[in-house]
Amino acid sequence: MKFSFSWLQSFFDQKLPAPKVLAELLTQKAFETEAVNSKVLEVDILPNRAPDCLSYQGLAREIGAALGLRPKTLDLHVPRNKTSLKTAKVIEVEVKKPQDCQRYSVRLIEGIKIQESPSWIKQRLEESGLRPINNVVDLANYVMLETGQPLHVFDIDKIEGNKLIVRQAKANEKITTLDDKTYSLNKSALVIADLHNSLAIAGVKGGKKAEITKATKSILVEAANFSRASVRGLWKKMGLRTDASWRFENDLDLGLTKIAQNRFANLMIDLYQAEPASDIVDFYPVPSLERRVDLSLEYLEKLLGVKIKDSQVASILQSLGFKIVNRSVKKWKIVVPSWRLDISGQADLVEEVARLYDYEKIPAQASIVNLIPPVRNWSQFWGKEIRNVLIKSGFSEALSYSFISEEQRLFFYYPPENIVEVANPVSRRQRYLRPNLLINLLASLKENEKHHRQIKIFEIGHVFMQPSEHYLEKSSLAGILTSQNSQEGFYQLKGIIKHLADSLVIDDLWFDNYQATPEDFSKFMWHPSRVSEIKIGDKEIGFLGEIHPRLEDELNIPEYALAFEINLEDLTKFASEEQEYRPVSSYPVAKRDLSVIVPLATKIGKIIAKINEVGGLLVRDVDLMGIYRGDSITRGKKSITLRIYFQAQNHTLPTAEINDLQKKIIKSLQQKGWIIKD
Amino acid sequence: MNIKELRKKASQDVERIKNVEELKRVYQEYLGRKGKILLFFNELKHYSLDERKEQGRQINKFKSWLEEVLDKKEKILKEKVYRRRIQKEKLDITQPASKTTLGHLHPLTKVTYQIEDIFQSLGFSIIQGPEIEDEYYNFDALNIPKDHPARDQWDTFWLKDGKHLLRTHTSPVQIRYMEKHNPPFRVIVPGRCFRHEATDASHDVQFKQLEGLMVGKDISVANFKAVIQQFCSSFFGPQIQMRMRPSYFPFTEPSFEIDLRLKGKKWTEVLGAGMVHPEIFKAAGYQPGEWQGFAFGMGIDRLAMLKYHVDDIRLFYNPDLRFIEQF
Repeated sequence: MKFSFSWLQSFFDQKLPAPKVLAELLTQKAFETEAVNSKVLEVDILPNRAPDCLSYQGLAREIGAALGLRPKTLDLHVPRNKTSLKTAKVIEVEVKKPQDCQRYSVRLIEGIKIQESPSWIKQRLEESGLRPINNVVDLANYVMLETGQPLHVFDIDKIEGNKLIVRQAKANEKITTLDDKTYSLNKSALVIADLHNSLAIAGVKGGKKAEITKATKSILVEAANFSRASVRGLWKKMGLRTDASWRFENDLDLGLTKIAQNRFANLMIDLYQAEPASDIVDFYPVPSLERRVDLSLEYLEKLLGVKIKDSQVASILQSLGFKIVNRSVKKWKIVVPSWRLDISGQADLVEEVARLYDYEKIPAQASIVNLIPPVRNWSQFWGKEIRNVLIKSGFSEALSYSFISEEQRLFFYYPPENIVEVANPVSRRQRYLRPNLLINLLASLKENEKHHRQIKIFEIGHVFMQPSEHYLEKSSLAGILTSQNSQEGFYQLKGIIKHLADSLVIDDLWFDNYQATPEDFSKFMWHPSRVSEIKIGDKEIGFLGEIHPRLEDELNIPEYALAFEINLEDLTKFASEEQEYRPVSSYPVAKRDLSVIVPLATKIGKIIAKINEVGGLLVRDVDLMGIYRGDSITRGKKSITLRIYFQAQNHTLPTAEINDLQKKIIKSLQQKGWIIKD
Repeated sequence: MNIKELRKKASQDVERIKNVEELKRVYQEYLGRKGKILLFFNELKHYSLDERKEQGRQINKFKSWLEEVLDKKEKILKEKVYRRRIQKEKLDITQPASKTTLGHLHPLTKVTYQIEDIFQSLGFSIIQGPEIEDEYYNFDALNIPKDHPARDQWDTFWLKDGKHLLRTHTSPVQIRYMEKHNPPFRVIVPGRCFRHEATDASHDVQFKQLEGLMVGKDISVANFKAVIQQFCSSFFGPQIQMRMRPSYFPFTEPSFEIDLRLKGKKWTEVLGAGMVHPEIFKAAGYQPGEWQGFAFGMGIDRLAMLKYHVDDIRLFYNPDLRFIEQF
């Protein structure tokens, strides 16, 4: 809220510090404040302090407490007028539902002459960000700013009957407001009405019907306490919020209506010689009670970690209007001032003391705690390890939005019922939550390829699905590598995943043939004959392969995109830190190369598996040396050259033993119908 | 041939050696497994014991003389080879460096790791929670009642069922953790959060937050100050200045804010904090008055922007390698 510096100064006889200095002081002791210029302060009133501090009176109290000064009180004196008895009966108030409006105070004021406000009032309003209109409306605003209590004025001659009714709006009830806008209300809104028409949207805006004009002679001044719910709906549903409704939304001190009425009348008499023609007609069925809170000084000291002298605690609380009614050694009974709606427990009192004592004066004090080392978070731990491996393999980490668009959803054929939709997206591009990480990573390729020869990116993040009525949130790991040669790229990526498994000490990760299932959306993502399922044991944890040619084409990816996406929880579940050292055999290794001619469709993995099966522990490793297709090989076949490493753990393998084993291996391969080339 | 003649021949041969290969050949000829010296030794058995002694001594003398001479010669020859290579092999060190094959960590991850490391060294454990939350954990349990203006501080993405939402802060994890653990404890919670708001250079619909919570019998504001000072000087360096001022959060009381600045620069708000509100302990099922402690939350994006002088928060969530590769 904007505050006029000179208006604030008017609360004090002593000269206040310059606006800049005052702003610093308020920031340190109460609210973040900025001196906009030498006349205006912008004060960021904290939400819990809106009830008392969206007003000059409230902020003056804060300034007084911070500086040790006592702000002046407002002049509320209203001399009783002879005519008051005569007209007191004229006005009757009916509140249909007291829970919507706990207090409704009105007063009739006559002898009104509509004119311009004096310049000092206009200046104060303008410095507070309000536009002057005429003396009556300006004064209502002035008193609202001063006390925090919104006021509304009706031209009483335009009210039909002698009764004001506070009621729920009827369904679709129309009202034209002072700014010539017509609103159609629903039942959650409150209106002020006479016998026939609504005169105002309660607590929000006045209506055209009983508007103050140049001809206005007598006014009915309203100071009410409308419920938060009655005004909040209008803001939430219609975006309708005014200086008045903003204050009601934050609740107000029930005692304020009378203070504001008297202040308004006082100034009307003083400035414009108007005549209050009635006492306040006050609907106030359940007066608010005095609130008391106990404060334990021991708790205060324990919570702050510093001992503040009792006398200082007392003077801070008193400077803010708290009364200490009972001071036993351990517990003080404290009466909360009616305007401090935010105070309900002793922690609230501790805050009052702490901020005015000054947080800067509380010393930093290391806590005395048990030396318990932090518990390791495995997901964080493995995340770090995975990132390390990928970064060492040349992959950079990207982060993308957790959202995807309708177009993206359609593009990947996700049925809307299986994917999580946001009820109130900020833009069309962010309508759903991402069901996988690749969607957004793929979208980045086109731009990245303009600047990079080969792209290697990965992301770790949460993905969302809705397979049933429950949401499913998973942690995922995905990566993309672009390559001019799809197969080369595939095996490169496969190597990286293998390496990743090694780093996590997962020794049974393998790549299985892809089997599309009908409910599986992955078939739209992957090139069906260049994709593999990544498995640990018999658990499928993800996919690795080339992106579907349709996507490569339509996403304008100039090269092949090879990718993987893995369920991170599944992967790390199998991860282990227990890396065991296997003694390096000190006995010589024998190498034997072997070329096998097999049909094109035969998987190399099968040949290697057979060799391992027959060779047992003595085959330490099998390397792929080359694949050859061409003139010397029958059509429809390929020649696979493998290198077998023979080694024993505990002795030197005699040549004869190696030869025997090699023969056995060759025989078993031949039994498969494969041809061994010499 | 006797030893004398052999020695003469050998010194001529050594004289003639021009390179390492020739040296190896001469070595083999004399000192190899079928070398002349071995032949001499084999001849010894034809001599009498005394002669054998004398001859043996002479052969040994000759052998060690030859080894030494060859050794020296080899060193000289190799030295020559090195010198030639060094003269020949040149390098243009001004040629542009080859591209390294290492990838890059995202700046937000980097900053998160730095923060986590600092807090872990102070005994804080890392915990995590879901990004889809329900109303209870995100609001109600945190003392942010429905239809209360306090909720307006958190613009929220709701899901279609009207009950679930995208967490607006990491604070729900506080409640989830306290429901299952008893104090004393120290935890931090890093994670992605969401705000339903228009985006600009300093606001985005998603951001990364890090929450901290320390609870014990007598954990105080003074203790908070010590932890946070430690953190700030570790993260930003000892020159950083810190300011603590009043604030408001429904889940802490008292509440405060931490601003930071480098000498002479403007204060920047980096961290909201406070003493855990008694209502929160109640929601977690703790005995009233038994525990106390502090909670704090900081925007990792904001810290990364400060640290790396990034002026647009949206750069973080755009997978542009030209950006990422700078970190």
